[in-house]
Amino acid sequence: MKKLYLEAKAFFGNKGFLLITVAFFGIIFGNLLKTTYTLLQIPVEENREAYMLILSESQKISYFLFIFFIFISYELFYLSHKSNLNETLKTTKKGIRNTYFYQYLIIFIITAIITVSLLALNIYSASHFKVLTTELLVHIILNCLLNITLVITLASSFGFLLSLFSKKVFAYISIVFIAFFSSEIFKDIVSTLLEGFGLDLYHLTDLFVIFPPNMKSVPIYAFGLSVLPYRWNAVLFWLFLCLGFINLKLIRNRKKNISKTVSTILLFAFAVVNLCFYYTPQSKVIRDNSPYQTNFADFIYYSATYTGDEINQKADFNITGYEMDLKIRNTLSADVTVTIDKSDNEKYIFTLYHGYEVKSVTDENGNSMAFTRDNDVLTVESDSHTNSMRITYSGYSPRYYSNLQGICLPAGFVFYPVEGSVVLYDTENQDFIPYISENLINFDVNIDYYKNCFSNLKGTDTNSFEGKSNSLSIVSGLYKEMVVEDTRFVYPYLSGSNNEKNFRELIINEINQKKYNINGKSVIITPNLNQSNICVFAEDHIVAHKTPWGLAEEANGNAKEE
Amino acid sequence: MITISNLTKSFKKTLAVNHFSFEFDNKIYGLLGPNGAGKTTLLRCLAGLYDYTGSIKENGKEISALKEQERNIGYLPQKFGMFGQLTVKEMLQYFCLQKGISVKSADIEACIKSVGLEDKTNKKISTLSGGMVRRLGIAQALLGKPSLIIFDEPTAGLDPEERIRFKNIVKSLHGKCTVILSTHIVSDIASVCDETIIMNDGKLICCGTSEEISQKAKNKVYLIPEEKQNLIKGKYYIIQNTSDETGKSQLRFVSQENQNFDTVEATVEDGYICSIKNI
Repeated sequence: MKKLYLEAKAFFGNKGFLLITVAFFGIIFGNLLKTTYTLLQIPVEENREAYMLILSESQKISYFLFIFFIFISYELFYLSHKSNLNETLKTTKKGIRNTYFYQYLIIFIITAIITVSLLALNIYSASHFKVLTTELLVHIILNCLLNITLVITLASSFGFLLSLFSKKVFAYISIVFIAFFSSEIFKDIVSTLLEGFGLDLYHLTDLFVIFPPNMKSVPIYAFGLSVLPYRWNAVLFWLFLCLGFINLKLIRNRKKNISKTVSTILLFAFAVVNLCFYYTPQSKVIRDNSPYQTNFADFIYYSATYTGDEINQKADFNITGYEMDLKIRNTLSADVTVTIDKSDNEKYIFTLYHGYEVKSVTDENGNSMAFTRDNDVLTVESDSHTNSMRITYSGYSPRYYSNLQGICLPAGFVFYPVEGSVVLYDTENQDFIPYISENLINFDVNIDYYKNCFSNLKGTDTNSFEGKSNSLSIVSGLYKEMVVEDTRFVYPYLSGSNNEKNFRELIINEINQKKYNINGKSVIITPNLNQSNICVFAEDHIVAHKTPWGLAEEANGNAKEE
Repeated sequence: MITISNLTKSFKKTLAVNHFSFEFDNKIYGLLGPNGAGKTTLLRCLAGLYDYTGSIKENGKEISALKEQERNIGYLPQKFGMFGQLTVKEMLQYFCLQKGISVKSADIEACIKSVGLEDKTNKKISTLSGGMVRRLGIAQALLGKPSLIIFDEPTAGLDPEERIRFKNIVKSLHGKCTVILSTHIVSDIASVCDETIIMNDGKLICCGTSEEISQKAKNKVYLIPEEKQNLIKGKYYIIQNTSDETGKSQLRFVSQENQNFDTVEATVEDGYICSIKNI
């Protein structure tokens, strides 16, 4: 404790650094507390979306904490060098590493205080808005650990690395560069370069994205803030890389210090492993101007592949049943057996969203069937009679996510094979064209997923569903379900008003306009992911792409027009 | 005992220490040499700060194989500083903790008193003069009764009174441990050290007591009026320009050649010059 006190005094005894630290935390946390206080004044009955805003605000400070801690860590770790103490300390029994350890401990204690404070703020706010569940608590903890604890740890490692290698001027220039490349300004520049000059630099910017994405957009209430594995991989890549270089610099007599050499190699190896996992194709939810992410990926893809002459081509067979085994991790892996009503075709045309790569097609006897893919169209060659086909595929959609944080696979989106050649996308409206089967089909669905899933179908077991419908919806995440009168609602519990009884009334106009009888049916509220249509109507359920709040606005608008 | 065998240390193309061998006992050693002789590099190798080829053994154990906690050395480098925000007492407590010494058992007050800083005990280091900071540096090197103490230019920045105080401190360590001090000030070595080592171009040139070093210049040192400089025969090296009692300029020089002047008594400095210049 004495050593810790002396190290802290050696640094914070400097009035300049003390003032900077106090001013920084005063401004950042003062602002956060002010915003939180304002949001907490909103009556709980009126709007519980305010909680997600508090969570977002508390995580937005991640960038500022990152820059601040690079700077303060650099100065802290550089202190003994600046004071011409390094040489002496290296000859003592505890060595210079002991000094670095206590300096790291100071940073760790400050980090822990910040993390616990933000956790407390979020838990209190969530409780205040009566939305705190175990699931949400885990979500809050993961956010704080990733965006606060791990990011500050990375920042302090950067600062330490700079203190070992560079003089002050170069270190400060490096800090400015790091601040720039990890900022929103850089992302905006990259976006401008793509839009204005067709220069795509998004893959280069990927690894610098270590802060929460989608902060400029309205939160996805069903999904929360992204804490997906790729984000951890990005931060851990940089962290292990830093630690590797730090270890390399601190090893004395590398030829004889085998264990420390091995530890350095291991650190670099961990960095490479995280890099590989980061670049593994996976379902992310990033709503920026990138051509690979949620907002524009499909528009860019279909603009390039569609000629404009596409029309639907009806199949000469019908699918009468689906047996689906779905496994969802970072992507969707599916093992789907389709039962068909015509067994003697030489060719079967299906449509499956192009983001899902077909691995194999086998007949009812397990014999391989040849197949080809042409964008969304799957053509299966058959040289034998078969009443069913087993199609295995995996992949993801940039918009309709299926990952470790949530699932949004709504009715209308072709995430399982459907018969015929179907035009899936309208490039003029920049949106998917909902596909709903003309027939009722038997579904038997099993989902291997660690969270509770919700579907339009009847649940027979945990994450197992079966029933008859003309479309399938699967959602998971920050959802709850309830029954109001005889209508079942599946909704994101962080959005909307606390008065659930308004739900039915709020969407009734929309439903009445379509002359849809909601009695005995389900209403599944999915996130607004830039869809242009409000609702997709299936036989047994509707999927509403806006929160009831948005639906009410639409309904009011329609009423005024009339 | 510290035994150095064939120690070599180079930095890129510069050979800083060149096959240096020596044995140190519990004595006070002075290390003399011109700038770039390799003194600091040698001391840093002894302190365990550099990798090297050759061997340095402390009590029979190779120091490169020892962990930091297995050695007990005191080290005062050439460039030395402290944490300005700590007080004198706190800084020594810091060093105690770094050296694995209990703060309670270490007699910090006695240490502070031995370097004459007792009236500055609770003052911040940023308020001390350069000389006081160096005195504090000496104090930290003495903490924990180390078996080897290395001083690199310890009297740089000290006024004459402080230099006398330093010499007294070092003299008090005689026989208790190995002390190696490197300096340009020959008079410091002459009055304090049991043995003097002269280095140049990374090599050991010669070693011995002050008398033995002085003997190197026996019958080679001359002191003449400056106006007679043109009468000097052959090669010579000017050690010093001085003045006599009347204020007349005099020239003190060493020369291998027999000159037509009377020689004067050689000092350690004369012996050092002769060793370095190969006279």
